[in-house]
Amino acid sequence: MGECHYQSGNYEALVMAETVRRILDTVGINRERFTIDWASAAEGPRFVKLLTEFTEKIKTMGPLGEAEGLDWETLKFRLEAARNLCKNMQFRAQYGNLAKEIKKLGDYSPENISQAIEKKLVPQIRKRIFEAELKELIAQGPQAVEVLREKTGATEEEIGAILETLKKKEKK
Amino acid sequence: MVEAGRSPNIEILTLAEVESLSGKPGKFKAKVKIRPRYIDPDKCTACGQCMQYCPREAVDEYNERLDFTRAARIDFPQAVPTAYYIDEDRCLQLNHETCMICTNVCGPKAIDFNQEPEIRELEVGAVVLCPGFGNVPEEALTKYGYGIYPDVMTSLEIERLMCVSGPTEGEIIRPSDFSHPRKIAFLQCVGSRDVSCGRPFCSSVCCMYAMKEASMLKEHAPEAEIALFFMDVRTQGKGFDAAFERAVDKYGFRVIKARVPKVEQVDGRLALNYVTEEGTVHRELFDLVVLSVGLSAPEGAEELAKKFGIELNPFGFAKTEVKDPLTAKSGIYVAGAFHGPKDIPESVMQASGAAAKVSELLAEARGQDMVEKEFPPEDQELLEMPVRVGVFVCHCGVNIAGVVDVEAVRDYAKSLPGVVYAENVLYSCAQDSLEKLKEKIKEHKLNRLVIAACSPRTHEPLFQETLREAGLNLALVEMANIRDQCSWVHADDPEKATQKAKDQVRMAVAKARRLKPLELQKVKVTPSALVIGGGAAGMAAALSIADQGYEVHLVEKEAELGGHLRRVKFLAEGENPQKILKDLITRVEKHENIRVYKSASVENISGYVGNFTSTIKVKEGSKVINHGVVVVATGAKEHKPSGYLYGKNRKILTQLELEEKLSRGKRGLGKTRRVVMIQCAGSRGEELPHCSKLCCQQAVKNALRIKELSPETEVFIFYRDMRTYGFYEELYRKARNQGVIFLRYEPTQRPEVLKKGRGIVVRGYDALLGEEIEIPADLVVLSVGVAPDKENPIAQILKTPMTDEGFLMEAHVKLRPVEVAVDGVYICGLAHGPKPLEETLAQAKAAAGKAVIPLAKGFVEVPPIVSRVEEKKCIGCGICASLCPYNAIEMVKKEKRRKAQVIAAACKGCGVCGSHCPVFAITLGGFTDEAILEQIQAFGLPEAEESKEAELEKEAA
Amino acid sequence: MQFEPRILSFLCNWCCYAAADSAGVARFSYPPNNRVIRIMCTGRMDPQFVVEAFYVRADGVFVGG
Repeated sequence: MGECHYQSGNYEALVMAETVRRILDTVGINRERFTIDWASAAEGPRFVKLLTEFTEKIKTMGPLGEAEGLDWETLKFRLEAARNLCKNMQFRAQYGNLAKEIKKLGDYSPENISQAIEKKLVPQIRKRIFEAELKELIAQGPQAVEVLREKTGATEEEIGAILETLKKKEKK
Repeated sequence: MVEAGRSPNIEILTLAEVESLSGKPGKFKAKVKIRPRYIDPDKCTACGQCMQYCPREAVDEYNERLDFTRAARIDFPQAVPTAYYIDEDRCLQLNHETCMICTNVCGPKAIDFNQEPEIRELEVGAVVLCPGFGNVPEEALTKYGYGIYPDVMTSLEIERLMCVSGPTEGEIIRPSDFSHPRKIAFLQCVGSRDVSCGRPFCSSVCCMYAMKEASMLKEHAPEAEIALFFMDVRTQGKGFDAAFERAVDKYGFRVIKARVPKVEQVDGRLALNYVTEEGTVHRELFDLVVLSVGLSAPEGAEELAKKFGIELNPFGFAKTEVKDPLTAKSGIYVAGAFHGPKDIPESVMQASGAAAKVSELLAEARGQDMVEKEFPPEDQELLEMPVRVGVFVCHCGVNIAGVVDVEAVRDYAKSLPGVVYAENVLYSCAQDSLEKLKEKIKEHKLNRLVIAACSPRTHEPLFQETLREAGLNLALVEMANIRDQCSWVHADDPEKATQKAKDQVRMAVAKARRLKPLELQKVKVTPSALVIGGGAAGMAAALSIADQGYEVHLVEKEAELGGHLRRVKFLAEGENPQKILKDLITRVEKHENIRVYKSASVENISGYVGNFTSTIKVKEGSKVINHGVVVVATGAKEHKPSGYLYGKNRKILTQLELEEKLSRGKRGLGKTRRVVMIQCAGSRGEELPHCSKLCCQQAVKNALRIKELSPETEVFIFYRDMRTYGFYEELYRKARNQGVIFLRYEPTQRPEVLKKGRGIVVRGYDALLGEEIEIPADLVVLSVGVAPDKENPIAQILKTPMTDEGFLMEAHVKLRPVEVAVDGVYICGLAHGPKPLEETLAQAKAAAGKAVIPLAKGFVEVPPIVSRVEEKKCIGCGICASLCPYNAIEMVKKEKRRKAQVIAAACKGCGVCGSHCPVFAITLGGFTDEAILEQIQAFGLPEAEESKEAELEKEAA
Repeated sequence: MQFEPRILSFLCNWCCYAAADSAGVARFSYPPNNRVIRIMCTGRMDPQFVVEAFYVRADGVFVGG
């Protein structure tokens, strides 16, 4: 770290990585399927080691979804919501502003990044993803809370809260 | 080579020889005789028909006479010029006036038997002599049975044998019975360090190349056992020790310290008798013996010297002085092995240095007769056509094709959406292939290219240039790396490697479909340089840049100039270092183009190549200067070892401290009766990991000085490997002749310095006696090595990478030895790595030569990979501006709205802005969201690709 | 049949991509499961790229700076 050709580009990547982990948590993908690591130009052997270890890890884990106990249809459904989240202007602005704030304070320790994201981004990630999913599900007709929980991975409270707001919006 | 061939300012005359030189520096006339090639290189397309039909065999000299070729031939496919020639000694037509088959089969009618030798008179300002090195004398080889026993081969022959385009396509077979050798021996110092054949000097490069060849042999034949016989392991170059140890470790080489006197043949195998250090006699059988041949002066060196009026040293190499290591005579410079045995990095450095010397001499005439490379205007019609992708899948000889099924990859590429043409190429980077590439672009109206070959990091610029030559925008090519990251790393699984290659090609094609033309911008350069460090390297670099006509700011942290050199009192070469230093200082201080800042430090450097702004802290405050380039010559320190009782006893000194004493003459030595020197005290794995390159010759030099001042004083030197490489070997021999006693130790048994009573003893292990010995000493001198500044503040400011040891890392060890990863920053001297004064001065010239390139050009081309803003989309949030690591984005008012604006010349293309823009308004050229997403989608299962095809069809309709 | 994961790597041109090249030059070998997208800097990484990769069924995503 800090030896980046681009001065601070890789610090920004740390914020990106933690954000990605939280998104994966939300959609129910094992966060270990994603990794970020460093090897300088001269460190061929290190790259080989990192990649080999990662490949082994994924091999032991098993195929995407299967290992998580999610059928592809459900996972795809959730990932679609995550894709939309990543393209959402408000969310991107929140993400960008958070990166800006962390840069300003200069503390790129994993603890600090994790805390900041937990506080400022995670509620947004969960709310936006679940909301999109629930909207889609409800549009297909009335559903039991159990089904909604299974399809989205959200908690009962989260589902309740989102349904509340959706109703309010509808009334307006 | 290809680059030199492509430069419009370099005219390459092959088959040519200088007959005579007249005139004076700056205005020479050279008479050059050009022998006929019998094939017009302008017409020749290198199709190879002439060679295919040529009936006359010839010995293949290029392949070290291991193979046959034809009288009409090309030595190797990447040759420059990429044109065939006819061997006049073998050709039937030229010798017997019968044949002419080649003339009949040559399509472009390039063959011309009427060519006559031509004499050309060239007007030149300066001459650089780079005739390379010559062969070792015959007797150096025959004494090892070369030419008698077929399985005794030279290292050069092995090099060809291992080459995949060599006579056996890389298969290692021994000549006697074509079997695969199981036991191989490398004999070092063949034609080097050998008085009996008139080659007393060390060839400097053989230890390292033997290790490289042995490693490659193991890759070709993993079952082979390899033993290497050394006198000393001389891997003194930067990073070489570590590489050597890694190889020994990885491949399990046996490293034997013994000189084998001769080779015998016994029952089809080769017997070596040798005596190891402890005195034991061994006899061992090998299947193949490789002679690591040394570097001799080039053949015809005397004649050359006469023609150019230069002097040679006693060994036939060009004679130069330490203070001006690249000048043979005013206006005539040398570079490479003609200057003395040296490796590629050293040679390349000298070449840049010689170019700087020429530039100093010819500064006034700069720019005259210069040819700018011109590209045809972009073919708008072609660019505006719907996407038409051409895919070229490279064999890279057998580098790719040996593993990956390249034909299958090509056929697969043809099936991909957007691809209208795909073919295989033997070597896509060869000059002829590039020409063909241009033809194919025209013929098939290709407006996007995918080259599936090696790494874009090394070859993308070449293809980009070719695209420009073909009237396309340089950004319309995408490379799929199927060599470095595929065939080379998955050699054991051709099927999966082929699958990976197909996937990478599919992804590259997907990206190519989204590539858009990018604009090339030029930025003006501030014509001055900042040189950091006022030691020998910094001063020499500053002088050269100043002599080439540019302003220099030279910053030295101490109160006076000179650095490390101030403490060096003698040179192994015999010249007076203090005089060299004094001359440098006087010239620097008097030079009208140099401004010297003493007791000063560089506080900050911002900007980019061509336009740096730096703050220099001086006693009176701070100064801000603008400059176009930076030369870092921050030096290094003498290592202070923690052991060996150093600093605890007055009798224990470093070599530099001894030099100080010796500089006072016999008086300085006092009643010293016995001196014990310890090499690598702290180096090579103790406190410093590296070899410091200069300590061995420093020790020998000081030992000789002691002997000169006081012949009765005994001198013992404990060492691991005496690394008196090159002509320093002469001093080593002289020291031994004068009674200096050399004792080798193993790294596991480093000598110790102990207090015994009122005196000091050195305890070490004598390999010859096989027992521990104690030598009481009046003086213990430690060869402590060179310690880099691990916290080098300049490296931190510039963000330039360092090696593990803490030396500045060059951009490419061989090709760019004085440049770093940051554009416009050059390095030289001890900050780059330990080296003696002569090499430092040559390297300083090289750094100056490179640094002047952007200054002389007057502008730099901004690489096209920069960010751009789509103004309509921008919401003016400013996130990009605050995240940009280069402050390359400013927020400006446009029609009363805040908008982001990119300062292209400051943008380095990291793309942080794009990945954080809420509305995707800013993105990185060549790496747009669309392009990357398309690439990711192409990574997805091929089904995704099919739906893409439908989509694409829709778009087209 | 053994599960062969599909891994997508995003490698920085100056760091990991260069390291991967040098691994090739040194002829090291590693599992052939990864596919590479070159980026100029890990700072270019957008969360959407990783999500997209899983959306097209990558089993793992490796970002190397």
